[in-house]
Amino acid sequence: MMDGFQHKDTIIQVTGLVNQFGDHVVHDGLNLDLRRGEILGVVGGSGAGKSVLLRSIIGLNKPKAGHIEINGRSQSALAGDEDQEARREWGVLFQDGALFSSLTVAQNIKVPLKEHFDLSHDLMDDLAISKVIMAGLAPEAACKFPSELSGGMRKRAALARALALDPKILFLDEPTAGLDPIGAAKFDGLVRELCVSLGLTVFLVTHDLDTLVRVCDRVAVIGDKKVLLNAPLEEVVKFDHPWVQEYFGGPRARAVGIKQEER
Amino acid sequence: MGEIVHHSDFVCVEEGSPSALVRFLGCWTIENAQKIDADIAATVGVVGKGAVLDCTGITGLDTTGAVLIRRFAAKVEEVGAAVLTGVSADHKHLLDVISCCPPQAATEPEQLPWYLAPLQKAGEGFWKAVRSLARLLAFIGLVLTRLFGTLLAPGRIRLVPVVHQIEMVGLNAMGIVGLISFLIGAVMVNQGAIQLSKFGADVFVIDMLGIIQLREMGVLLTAIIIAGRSGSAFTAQIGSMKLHEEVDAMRTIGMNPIDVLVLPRLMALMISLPLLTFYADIVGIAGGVIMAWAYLDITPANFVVYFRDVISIEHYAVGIIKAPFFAAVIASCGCYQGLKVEGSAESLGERTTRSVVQSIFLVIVLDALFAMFFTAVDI
Repeated sequence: MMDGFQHKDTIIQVTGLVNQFGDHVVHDGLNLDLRRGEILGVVGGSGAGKSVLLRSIIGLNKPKAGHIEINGRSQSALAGDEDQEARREWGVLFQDGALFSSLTVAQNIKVPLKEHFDLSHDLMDDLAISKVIMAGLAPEAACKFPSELSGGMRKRAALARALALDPKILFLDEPTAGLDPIGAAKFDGLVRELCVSLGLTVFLVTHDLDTLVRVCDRVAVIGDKKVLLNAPLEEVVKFDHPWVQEYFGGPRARAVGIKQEER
Repeated sequence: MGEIVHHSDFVCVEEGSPSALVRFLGCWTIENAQKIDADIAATVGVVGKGAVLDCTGITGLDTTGAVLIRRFAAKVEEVGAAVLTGVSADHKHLLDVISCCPPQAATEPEQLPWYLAPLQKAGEGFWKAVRSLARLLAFIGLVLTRLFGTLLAPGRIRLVPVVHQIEMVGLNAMGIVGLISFLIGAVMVNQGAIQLSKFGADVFVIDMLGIIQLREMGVLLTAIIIAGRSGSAFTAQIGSMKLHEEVDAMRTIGMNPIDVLVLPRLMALMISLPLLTFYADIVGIAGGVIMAWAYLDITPANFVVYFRDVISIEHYAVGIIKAPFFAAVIASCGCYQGLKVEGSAESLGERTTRSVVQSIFLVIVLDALFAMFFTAVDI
């Protein structure tokens, strides 16, 4: 296992983020940092703004205020080619996969390759199939359309597309939602394995306690419009906040073996 | 040390015996993939029988680079043995993840050769059209049985959606229907007057306008506008509900999608289209009146007096009686195609197109049948 504490350099830094939709304030002065090579799990109640945070970092949602830096580059200052360049450094797995439904899995993987590079067809085919296998799918799945795949396979295919450009950072939005426990456990393992072998940094939004325990190096808890704390799971479990206590003290948490000290 | 036969930024080939030494250099990442790929193509021919692939010179490696190394090795192995050496610990992981040369698998669905594809498409298209029409007929039957069932038990009519749909397809369409009818009425008088004035018969333009607008143009144009405007909307609404499994959810709750989705739209259109046709008739003739006044100096009062003399109520009835039939065809096509949407956004688009094309086609066919019928019965 990779130890988050050995990698002190920060790859993503969010400072003073404010997000507001109409009167509804989602984030108010949110700070977060993500270290190179770690897997950060982001948890929080429904509507706490986990997905909004993710969308803000990847630039799909323009924050009202605040500063987001990825790899030392301020995201708000990027424009044109630089923005395109920066986007190559990360891959995103959306909640429902968001595969292009009119393309096959392999064509989906080739889309970013075609957009950014001028590679031979032969090589792109090889790359696409390698990514398909890497994501744990059978090579035969490459020529299937997303509508012909099961939910778990779609997630894997979407992961393959997210990895197409060899990103340094991977954003996963609830990767195990809607998967059966076996599929979810396999997906967790896959993320862990890829993180080690490809040296990825992973930003993982999840509700799945299993994923938190098995995959994440650190856990960031979002609540009260801020990041309440960002620490390894053992510390988070001890944190004195009603929501955290309820979340990690519930029957589901006990079932996956999260132990709390008697207080 | 053998002779260096190829040297570039990424690959360096030294001849030797028994096998050549290939040294990989530099950063093997996706940014350089294009150049490396070209290098590989250039060097594989040079390597006679087998090679030792030395990876010590690689400074950066990602999955793309790993795939390229695997490809190189596979190409060399076609002529001899390839031995991979000097892989650093960091890179070993990556090379393990990338399976040795992926098995050949199709990345796109199989396609017929170009000379057969058009034939196949034509055949498929024809059968699709025939089958689609047959299924549409079955669907219309199904909807009509539900409709008559509903009429026998009026409590089942969902009044609110019907009224809402009347607003959407009827009231909101008045602007565009009115504008187009007005212009067409005016243009018909204008063009007709030019031709008829050659015979000094320009006053007959009123007969022409009245008969064409009331019998054919009013209802046909309105139906075509509505097919494009509301038929497509029906398909898109129902289709996107289908994509999100809302239609399935409805079924499980015990609501019949025909009752909930199709009948209100059908009823609304069957009520709206005759009303819109009536409106289009009036606006179209008003357009004619104004054009006749401006062009032929026929005052509106004279126009109306003459119009009343020559145009009987039958012409109007022949036009308006067609409207509910057209409405039924448009609503059925739209809803049927909507319920047939499956899987992807592409299918939604295809079905929407088909709904509009099919309903306009059927409206015109039906109009022709009506024309034959009315001629036969001398109306």
